[in-house]
Amino acid sequence: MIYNIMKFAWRNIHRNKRRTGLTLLAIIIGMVSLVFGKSLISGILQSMKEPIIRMQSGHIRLVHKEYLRLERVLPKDQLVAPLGAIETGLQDMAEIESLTRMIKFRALAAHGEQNEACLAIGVIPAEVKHTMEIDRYVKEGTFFSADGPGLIIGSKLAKKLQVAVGDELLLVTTDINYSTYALPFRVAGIFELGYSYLDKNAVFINFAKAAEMMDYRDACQEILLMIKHPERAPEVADEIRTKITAKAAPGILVIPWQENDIMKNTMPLMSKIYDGIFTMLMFIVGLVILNTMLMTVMERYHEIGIIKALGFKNRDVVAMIFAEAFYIGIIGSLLGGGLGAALTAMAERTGIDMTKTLSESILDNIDLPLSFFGKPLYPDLTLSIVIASVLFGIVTTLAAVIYPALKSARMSPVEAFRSELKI
Amino acid sequence: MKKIIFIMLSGLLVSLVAAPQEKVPTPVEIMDRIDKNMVFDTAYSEIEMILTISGRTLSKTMTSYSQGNEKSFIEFLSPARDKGTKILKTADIIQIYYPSAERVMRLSGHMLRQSMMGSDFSFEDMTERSKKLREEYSAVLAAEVVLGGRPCFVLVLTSRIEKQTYYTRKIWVDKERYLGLKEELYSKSGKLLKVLTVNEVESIAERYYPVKITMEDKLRNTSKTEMIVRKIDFDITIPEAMFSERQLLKK
Repeated sequence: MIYNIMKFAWRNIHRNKRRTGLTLLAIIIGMVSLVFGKSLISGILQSMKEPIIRMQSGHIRLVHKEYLRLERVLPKDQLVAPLGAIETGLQDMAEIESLTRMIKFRALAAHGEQNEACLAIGVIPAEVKHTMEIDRYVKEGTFFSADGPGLIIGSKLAKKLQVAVGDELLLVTTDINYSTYALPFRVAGIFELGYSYLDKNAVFINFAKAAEMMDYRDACQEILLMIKHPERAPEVADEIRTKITAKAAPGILVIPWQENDIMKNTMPLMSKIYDGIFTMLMFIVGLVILNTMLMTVMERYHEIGIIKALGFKNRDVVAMIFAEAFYIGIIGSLLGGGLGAALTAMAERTGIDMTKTLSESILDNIDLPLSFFGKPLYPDLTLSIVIASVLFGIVTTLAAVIYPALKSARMSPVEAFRSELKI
Repeated sequence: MKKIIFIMLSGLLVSLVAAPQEKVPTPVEIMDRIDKNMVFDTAYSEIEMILTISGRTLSKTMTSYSQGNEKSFIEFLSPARDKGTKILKTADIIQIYYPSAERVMRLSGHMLRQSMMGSDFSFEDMTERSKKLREEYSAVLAAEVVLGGRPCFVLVLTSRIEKQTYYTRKIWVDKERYLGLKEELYSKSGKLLKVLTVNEVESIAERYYPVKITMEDKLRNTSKTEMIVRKIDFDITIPEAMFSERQLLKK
């Protein structure tokens, strides 16, 4: 009997092609929206995480606790020291892939009659290529050499100072003892990260020159470590703490990326906001499917009356409606999931240019290393997203027919003949 | 006895009423008297600046040549990293020579309000010490109070110039010596920018001049700078070459 009912249901969905087509279309559109929406959100969150790790937290960050507390004002005398001893302590740790030492200080950059306040970041070129990958973003000129007086400058700062590659730039700062110190630099390159804060304010100089300007000996402000297995950062951080406790000055913190302030506070908040948006999208898709299925069943009360008069039992009617919903649900969800996956995969390859939707002034005021502002955004499609969306489509389609199926089953044939389209 | 007391009290009352009231000077007169102390044609001074920043104390010494409010030349003598740094102010432009870079940087406009050598004084504060209050401000006498045991006029000055750094100044003026003992310096929006306190005054060449001043930059809020004038000579002859770029680059 059940075979006959399923066969009957299968024929039914072919009988009225327009009705079936419209129902399928609603499910397909819903599925495409879900697959694309979830992949896009996943891509946004992923694109936030990556640059925060590369620019701010590393996989593990070594920094003085007071520096961390006052980071906005870049305190000059809260240092990671003694640098040599700490580095020696880290040398034999196979898990560590790369180490980046950094000195950051506020400076005045002068070129001819122009001068602007800037953020100077002292790095070793070979080291910074593993973490920040700034070299990939040098759009004019080259990265500076390891020992030269070269610097690279943010594109917007270069524009304000009217400097070009090859020009001389004077940097002036007050050192750890509040003495004023200046050094001339040659502009080796101009970078454009798409991270507006750095493009507008930063210059990267050689670590040794930065140490000379700040009068630091065997010290820096932070060390960023990249490790082979990022998920193991908390355990590796514990190991580092044990190794350096005896060697380092008191107050140095070893922070895994998961404990980074943005990762711990801002990212979960962003994630919740996006989850909220996605839940709304799911609700809308569910509502569309529910409405379509409801109408599809309810406009057939007359027909249901006839088949009940022909001898169909209540449970046969329910089974028939559920079988129809299952067929439509599975076909629509698979087609929609497939189409959504194909479209998302295309967008994943080409990227979506968000800059067209954001004005220059908005981009300028974003003070986070969010690489997707100013750069194309890539959705992050996974098989689990497609499977979850397809299952959601099938379950919603089945859930949508519970009420009309039970209602039609309870109706007598006469009642069904008389019924208008009403709930 | 009662008669004697009555006569004494009556006499006191009559003398109080009949005594000539001391005339309170007008705000303009007060400003004139301050200018008389503070404004000079030329001056040479040897100065020590003691910076207290986040609990640390640092000392810097310098010599300064000034010609009115227009020209100024400052050379730092210590500490070692600052030694040889020279600041030349002519008109509205400041040029700074940095020996570490062997380069000159020019500052103008709002950059003159930047901290000078990490202190609470700005380049403008240090190079415009001979400013005539009367020419740039209008004043109101707000109160008469006692500050640190000295009777003072409290003068509120409002700038006549739109782009004045310290648009409003509240000065506690020593009634006897006509010198600001304390100053609160405000922006045009009414924000308190700096507080200047005079800790020691000396009588030099027929004028009273502050020789120990503490400046607190209220925007930084973690520091103060004491300026001690170790030596000051007024109205000396300064060769014009002192205020030249050549002097700036001279080793």
